[in-house]
Amino acid sequence: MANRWNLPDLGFGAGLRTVHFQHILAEWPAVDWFEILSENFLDTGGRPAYVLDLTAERYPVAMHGVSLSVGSTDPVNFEYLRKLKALAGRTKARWISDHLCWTGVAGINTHDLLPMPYTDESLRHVAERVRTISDYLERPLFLENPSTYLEFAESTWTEWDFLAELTGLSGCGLLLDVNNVYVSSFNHGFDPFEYVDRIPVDRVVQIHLAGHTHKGTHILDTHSDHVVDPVWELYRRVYQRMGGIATLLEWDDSIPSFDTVHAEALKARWYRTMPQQEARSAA
Amino acid sequence: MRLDATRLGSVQHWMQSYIREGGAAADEAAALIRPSRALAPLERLDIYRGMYELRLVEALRADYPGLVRLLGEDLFDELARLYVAAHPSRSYTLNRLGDRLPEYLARVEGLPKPGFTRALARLELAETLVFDEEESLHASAEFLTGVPADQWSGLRFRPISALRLLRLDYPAHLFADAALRPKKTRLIVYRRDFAVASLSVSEPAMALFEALAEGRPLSDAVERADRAKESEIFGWFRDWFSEGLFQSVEAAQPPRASASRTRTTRATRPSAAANPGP
Ligand SMILES: [Fe+2]
Repeated sequence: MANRWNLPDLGFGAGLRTVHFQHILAEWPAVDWFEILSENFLDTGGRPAYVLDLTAERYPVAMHGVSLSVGSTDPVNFEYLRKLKALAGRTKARWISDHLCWTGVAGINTHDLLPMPYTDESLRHVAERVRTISDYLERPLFLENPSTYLEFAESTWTEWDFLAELTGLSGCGLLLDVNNVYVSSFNHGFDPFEYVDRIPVDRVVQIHLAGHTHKGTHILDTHSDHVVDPVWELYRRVYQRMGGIATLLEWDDSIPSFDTVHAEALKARWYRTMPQQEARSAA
Repeated sequence: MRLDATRLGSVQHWMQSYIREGGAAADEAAALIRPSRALAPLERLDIYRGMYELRLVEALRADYPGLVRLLGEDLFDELARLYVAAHPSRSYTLNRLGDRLPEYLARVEGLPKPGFTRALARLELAETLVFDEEESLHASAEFLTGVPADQWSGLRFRPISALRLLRLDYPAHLFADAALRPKKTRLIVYRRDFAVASLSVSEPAMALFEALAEGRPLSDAVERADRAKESEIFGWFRDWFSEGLFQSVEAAQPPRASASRTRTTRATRPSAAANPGP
């Protein structure tokens, strides 16, 4: 089952994080690919740029951003896009992704992935901006479902139907964050399996896995821990439905050793191959 | 057209201003946001408000670790929140969020150790700028040997990009070094002319001095100064004598021991009782 761009299943990757630079340069670990947080490399010519260049020579790299603000009603920031495009050229990035969200208005960046009302107005607005952005970047844009902590009363679409409709209207693809589906399903009380079952198969080029923090009343998407079992079950379901898709383990807070992060990412291989019954009895 | 003229725009402007500034918003939130099983609309919005401040304060902590150490986390965080309210991020990157913090601190009244705090802030800003600058080529001094002497006066030197010059009122780099970068340190702490002082020494010098202080003869003590050169050892003794670290030196057979005594006088503090009271 291929996506419509024939972008490859890169295997099991990890984020390129500062705390692991030394280890990566010394060991060149046998990880399949790296995802970089684009903003961490846009304006630096120092060690991060040096490590990135060496990494991009040896591994496939995908770029993942947090400041595109595709849902904002502020004007598109073309200076930012220019730098993204240059970085993508330099690293031979396999694709560029960001989130279905807005990060600020009135020229301010809150540096948070703020939720959209899922309305017809939002759909038209985001679709138009996606087209503008991918025209400028001369490549498709991939949007990730964010973890959200509130829902707007005026929303008329579910998030999964909104995303599915958006892909058709705008031509964008998807980065499906399975942990975010789970987090939002708890926070808003929907069925996460229904969500992943409704995502158009041919639009997904990448999957995110991550740990989170359960606060009792809600779950925060902290990327600070191991992936929980229900998220692995969702991952298994996505694999059964969509086949092998480039999978990345996000670990951004209380980051352990690179080997621990990589081992967590490689659990995904096991969940791909182990049928549910055997997995249950093995667990 | 105002950017918030659309429904989506007005929702975003309202939400951002609450996230940044707070205020009474329960009614608006109830109209805009669905409650969850466990949380009221405003409580859900407050999750974003709480994370906003935390994220920006954390970014500033990462850029100013010395200031955090100097001021303590509580005071630093308080100042960081005030700073962010006055100078919100307007960039796609958090890297430059703290660029105006030194300038901001210069206007804050009631800072503890204000002069030192500002010097340290300027140093840490320069460090973040140097960290991110473009890598330059490095000229070699050998270049100069190829330049005829009559052309020297016209030479122009262009520094690397990753470099800043600072004039500070305090040696803030010593604090930043000491507080943030662990380093095995051996000190002789002593008093001289009633002022407390300390002398940082190498491990061999420390081992040698320890042996001397234990009463071992010089030849034993020197053996402890693992592979130190004779000239080095002479240098240490010169420093130690000039700082007055020995009260006496005794020969193995002491026919003239009293002649070698140095610094035997002990001055005493004038006692408080000796001062005539008012
Ligand atoms: Fe993600």
